[in-house]
Amino acid sequence: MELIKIDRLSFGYGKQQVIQELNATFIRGELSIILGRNGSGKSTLFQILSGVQNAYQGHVAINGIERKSIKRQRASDVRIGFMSQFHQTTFPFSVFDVVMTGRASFTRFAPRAEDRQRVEDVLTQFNLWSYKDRPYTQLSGGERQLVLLCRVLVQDPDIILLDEPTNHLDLHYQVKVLENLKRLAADGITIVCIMHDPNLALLYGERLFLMQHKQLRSLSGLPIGEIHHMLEEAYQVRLEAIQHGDKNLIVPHISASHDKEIITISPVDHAQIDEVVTFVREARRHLFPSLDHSIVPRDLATFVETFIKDENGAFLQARDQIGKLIGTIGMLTYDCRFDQFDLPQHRVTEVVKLFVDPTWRRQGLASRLVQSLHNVAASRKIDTLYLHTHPFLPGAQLFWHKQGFEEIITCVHGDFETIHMAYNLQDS
Amino acid sequence: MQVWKISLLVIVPIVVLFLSLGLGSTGFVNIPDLLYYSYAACASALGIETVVADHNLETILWQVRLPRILLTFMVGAALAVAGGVLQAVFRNPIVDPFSLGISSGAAFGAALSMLISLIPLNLSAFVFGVIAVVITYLVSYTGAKGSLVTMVLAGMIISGVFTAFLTVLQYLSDPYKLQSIVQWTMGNLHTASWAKVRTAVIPITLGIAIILALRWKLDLLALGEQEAIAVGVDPKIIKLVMIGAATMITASSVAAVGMISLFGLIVPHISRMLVGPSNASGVLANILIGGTFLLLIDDFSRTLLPFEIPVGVFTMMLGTPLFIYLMRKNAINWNA
Repeated sequence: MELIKIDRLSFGYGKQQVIQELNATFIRGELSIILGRNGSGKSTLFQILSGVQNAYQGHVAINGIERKSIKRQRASDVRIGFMSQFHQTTFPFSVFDVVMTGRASFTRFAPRAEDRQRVEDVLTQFNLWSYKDRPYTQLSGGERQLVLLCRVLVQDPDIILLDEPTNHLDLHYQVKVLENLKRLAADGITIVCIMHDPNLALLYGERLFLMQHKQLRSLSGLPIGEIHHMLEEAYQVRLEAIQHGDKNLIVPHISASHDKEIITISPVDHAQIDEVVTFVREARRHLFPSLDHSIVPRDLATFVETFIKDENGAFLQARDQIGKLIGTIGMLTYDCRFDQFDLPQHRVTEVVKLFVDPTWRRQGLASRLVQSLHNVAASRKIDTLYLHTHPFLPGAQLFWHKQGFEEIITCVHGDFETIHMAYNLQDS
Repeated sequence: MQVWKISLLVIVPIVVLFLSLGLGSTGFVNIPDLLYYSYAACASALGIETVVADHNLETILWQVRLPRILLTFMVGAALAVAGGVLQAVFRNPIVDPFSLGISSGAAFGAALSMLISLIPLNLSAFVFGVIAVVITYLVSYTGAKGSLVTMVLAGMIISGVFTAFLTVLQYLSDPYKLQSIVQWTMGNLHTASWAKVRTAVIPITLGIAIILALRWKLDLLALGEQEAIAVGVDPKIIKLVMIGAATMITASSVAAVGMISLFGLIVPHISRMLVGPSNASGVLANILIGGTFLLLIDDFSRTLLPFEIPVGVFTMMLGTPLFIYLMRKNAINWNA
């Protein structure tokens, strides 16, 4: 039976939309796990489910009742326990006192004997009863997380929302917590859990979701190949699926050093132009979503004239072992269109179209492309390589610094703040 | 909490309350005499004739010393409880009624009503105390995670503003009123009277009673707003009630005896060291320790030197080294 039903949920902080038209269903007595990148909106979804955020559009029905109309304090219809990701406390309360605050909604004034009993039961269940007088602030991160979990459990919730319950725990406690969650789910509690480890999720989760593109996509029932592909796309790393008993596991693909030898960097020939132009336009669309992409940029439209026939022009491509296009870089004659600065040498080329396939990022491919272009430029007796980049591209400026480029000037063109950089080949 | 600690916390205040009666500038009264005078007072209240050796001493005991002792105890308890509550609610071990601006606001309000006697002093002190703490809270409020430091800084600034206003009032007032305002801002317990006790007793006992009744919720508030929501409690109302009660008892204390700085900051820390961080027992300890401690300070201030040292000066002089000691010893446990 579905306990939580989310229908066309949208939410944003100011202008920034975090959740858009999200639909999902969580089943009573199941352990559901949500995967997704940091900042993909998982925690926001939890804030909405737990009632911290109420300014959402769409419908969130819990046990058939709209979330907004569930009042706290007299939550007799449905009890929602929530464990947030970060918690720090100022005062060194004892473990017992911290867990006891979980019973606060049961009593108006002093806690009663049954409240104490419940705290004792839950602490004993997690082997924490001997910790009851220890100051909470002196516990390790993992122990604290367990104490907070106990605090959520003492209120006998119908639904438990856990934001990364295992992120500070060692393997022992990770397994212990997940086994306990599974048992609680079997007892009829609905548990929704945000996690980062896809394997723990695959091993323990009864239902899997992936938060991506402001929506929640169900992974349950999909073939492992599909899940593999979706996770690869979501986390932007290369993964490998491994058979483990009757379960499947997904681990990062280790890029051993021989991978580099398999990558080939070569000039683009006539037959490859269409494929390269498509790759570049796609990459550009992702990097600069605000630009008009219906127009083909002039240098791409005149690819042969600009990059192949021109004595200053060059266009390099990188391909992996199966010949898949994974990176590009080009240079063309600088047309001196910016008048904010002067470049004295007479042979100046502009570096353009450095793009790397997302799954190949952070492996030094971009540096290798730039290095290859340097070699081409040096062999053509080019004096200066010029390029411009933008501060909103994370790490771009630092990257070009490492390649030996230095800033000339930073100015604003249109909507973009632009950093102009140059590299003098004659000095080196 | 151990039994001996509880009994000590109850017995010491009673002993100190009783012995304080014997101290004063008109002379010391030894314990047998004190017992006899107390018996005589009880007896005459019941209508039994008793012979008292010294009628002047009798007047001093019941009309001067007793109201002063009771008022001092009440104010000490009020400031300590308010400090403890505010530290829990704002999750900040370095706030007190003074650092959040309540005291300065209340002082300004009280001085204003001394100058223009349109509104009653108590009410005026309360209203401006509330205004000050609300401004402090609004200034430092930055969404879900209010920083501990911003709040103290905001409190300092708001405190400064009200102190400046108070200075303007002092500058505008005539010498006679000026002297009463200045004396009063230094913390003056020597003006205590039964009338003052009667005005202060209702708001202070009411406020403390509210806090006592809700004290089990303070630990929850001290964990933070989200953590309260996480276990199905809406913290807003309890928070408001708590801040309101703390403001009321602080403002009443300030209206009765003037500003006594640092006291509301230090006593909760002493209580925490003695009975642990839990606020359920902390509130009780604050009442007993706060009352006794201020009474002791007052006893010193009226017997140590031939003239009386204003109690505000004394708490500052005693409190600073004590606080520095606690801080250096790391006895004050904060992870701010």
